[in-house]
Amino acid sequence: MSDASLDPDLEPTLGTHLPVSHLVVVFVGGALGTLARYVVVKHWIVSNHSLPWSLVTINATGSFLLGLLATSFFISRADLVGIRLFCSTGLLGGWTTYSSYAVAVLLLGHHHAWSPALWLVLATALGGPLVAWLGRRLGSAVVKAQR
Amino acid sequence: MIWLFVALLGGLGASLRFIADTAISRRLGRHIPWGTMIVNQLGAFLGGILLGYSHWGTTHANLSALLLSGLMGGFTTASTLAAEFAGMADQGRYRDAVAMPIAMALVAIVLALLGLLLGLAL
Repeated sequence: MSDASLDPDLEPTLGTHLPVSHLVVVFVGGALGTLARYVVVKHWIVSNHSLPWSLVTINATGSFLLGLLATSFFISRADLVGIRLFCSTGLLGGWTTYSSYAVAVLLLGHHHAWSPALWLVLATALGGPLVAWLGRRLGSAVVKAQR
Repeated sequence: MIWLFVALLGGLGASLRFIADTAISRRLGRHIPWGTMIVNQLGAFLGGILLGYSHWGTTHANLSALLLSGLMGGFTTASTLAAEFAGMADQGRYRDAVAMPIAMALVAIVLALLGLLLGLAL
């Protein structure tokens, strides 16, 4: 696998300019993903002293889905760059967040909830890549089964 | 109506990430996902500033919704980062695939802490 396919968010050519149409699909996808996360976090009340399961679930589902798409749909339909950018950079990028992770760790520390803080660090540092890797395995298996 | 502005700022954040990631990757290459990493670290730092400015999230609730949930939430991403590290593992780069996300997660806390101190002083 080449480095070019490592980051599903990038322009395939890395040309000197970004097509406006690609910026538009990223904007729309990012707005929708952000809105979905905002609604879920707003209604999924978590305590300041325990693991923020809303954040963990959001980032885990986004990571798994992106891993799944990266080894299946994004490869089989590599021609559909707009849809890939909409899903990957836009929708899932907006759905998941890294800034809230760092803020949540500080808030847990502020409330002396050291154990949940440690679990959140582990979930982000190791859990995220692990579920993305599982998604990649499932994507590969689905592609293989379809052949 | 605030949800609409949260969404629009999320779209703006995602667009800025797309532009920054593309520009950074063009210069530094794609062997290591510098673009996504730098964007996320910047987002963690700015998130820390906002946490401090809002006195640990006790004030400025609307500003936090707009800038932290919206702009920074759209700007940063956990999914791309996780997928990139998972892709590294599939390339056989196991050491990078494990060490880099751990380093990222720890650096983000340090940067957010620095942002917090700055935000508390504002």
